[in-house]
Amino acid sequence: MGKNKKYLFIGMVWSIIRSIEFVRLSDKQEGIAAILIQFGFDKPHFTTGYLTLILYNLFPILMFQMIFGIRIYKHFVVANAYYFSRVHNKDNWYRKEVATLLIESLVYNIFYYGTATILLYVANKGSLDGNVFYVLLYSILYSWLYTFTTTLLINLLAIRLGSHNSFILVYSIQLISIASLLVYDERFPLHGFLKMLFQLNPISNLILSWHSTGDAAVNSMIHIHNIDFPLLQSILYFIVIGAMITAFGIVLIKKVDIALDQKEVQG
Amino acid sequence: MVELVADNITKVIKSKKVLDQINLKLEGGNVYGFVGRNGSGKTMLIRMLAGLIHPSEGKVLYNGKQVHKEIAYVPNLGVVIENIGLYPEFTGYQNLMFLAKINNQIGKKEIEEAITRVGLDPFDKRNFGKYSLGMKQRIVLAQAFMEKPDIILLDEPTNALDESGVDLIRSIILEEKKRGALVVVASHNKQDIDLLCDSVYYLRDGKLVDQVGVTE
Repeated sequence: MGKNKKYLFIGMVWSIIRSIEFVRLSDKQEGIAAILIQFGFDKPHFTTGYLTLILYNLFPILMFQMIFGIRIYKHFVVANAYYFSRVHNKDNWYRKEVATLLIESLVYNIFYYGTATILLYVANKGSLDGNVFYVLLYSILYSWLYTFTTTLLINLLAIRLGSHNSFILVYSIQLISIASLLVYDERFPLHGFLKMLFQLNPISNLILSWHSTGDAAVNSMIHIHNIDFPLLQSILYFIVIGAMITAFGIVLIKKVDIALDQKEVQG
Repeated sequence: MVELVADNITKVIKSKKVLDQINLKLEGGNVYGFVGRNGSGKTMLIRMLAGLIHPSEGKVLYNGKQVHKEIAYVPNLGVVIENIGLYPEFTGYQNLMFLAKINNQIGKKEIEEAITRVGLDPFDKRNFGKYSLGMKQRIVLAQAFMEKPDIILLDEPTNALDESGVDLIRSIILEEKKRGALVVVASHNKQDIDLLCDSVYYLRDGKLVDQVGVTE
């Protein structure tokens, strides 16, 4: 119920921890936009060391998944018969739960990036110029959509498989997506099947530095390795995946039997 | 008068028929018993009539309307399923308030009355997780009765209750019947069945094998 809302502030706490790292780097005036890019995987290379850093940068999202990954699922476990015998329209109920998760994941990411921006500004790490808002917008958008999609997937898979298996599956997909980036080498241009796989990798779409934009100033900060995801392409990617997972949930919720598990076949 | 019908209900789970061509017709103002050994299908049939699970074949009809097709749910329902509890981190009152807020049919007063009716203190600060088994059973029964539903489906309602609790719940069931509710009691307790039920259905291996006192 509403108790989980206090965990949204974890985004703020983690943001403060990360920001201190950059504030302590003293006189280096990278600019706030450049620092924010580092929150979301700066100048990534295809090395095991860097891929470990990706995991570290994913930590706030992983924490949200851990806390909210059973937000919807818990209604199917505790007091399920008494709850759902009163829910008269499961479709509307599901839509409301999805909308709430969408808002919570947005607020969490706003807290995360917003807190960092404010702290860095107060610590004189740069000015709040147009580049900062540009980077902030896309960072929040990518992170929000990824957070929402993966957390919803954990919830829905838990209804079918149990929370244990659901977490293992989604976390494994994320780790494999990160590890699979080792196939690539920045010395060789991406093309063909490998490029398609790269573009379909959810972690690739999360990394701002593998995108390009028409804004020259921002492009010079983010664009490396001649990997050219258009910024909007990745947003579309996450929206499509999110919509597919949401639709899967609509079908699942309609068909699921409440208060039924293997042990109770003998009921 | 409310009517609940199971029309040729079959439920298959992992290739096993847990309910097999069940036909019955239940009406308000009566108490029906479901009797059978473990694995006979009593709890599964209660879940089916409550609209919590989908039949593999056949249909459940509420006042002539097919559940999951013409209507999405069984309205005005109170249910107790064996081994399903409430939220352990909340008090009994908080649990009932949370459930009551789903449809907003009742308020604080009715919740307090429901908890008192089953012999508990509505202002008890202990969480559900700290209750004794008997207290847990009583509060779960309270949530089934609190909204004065037309249909009350009770799976082993006197489990874990002491003698006074058993007498209390039996008297509540008879009060509900007098109010016109359709009450189903699934029980191993022969006394419950003998004292409460107007009609009894006997189940074995998911099939209805006998019925006593049933009028068509």
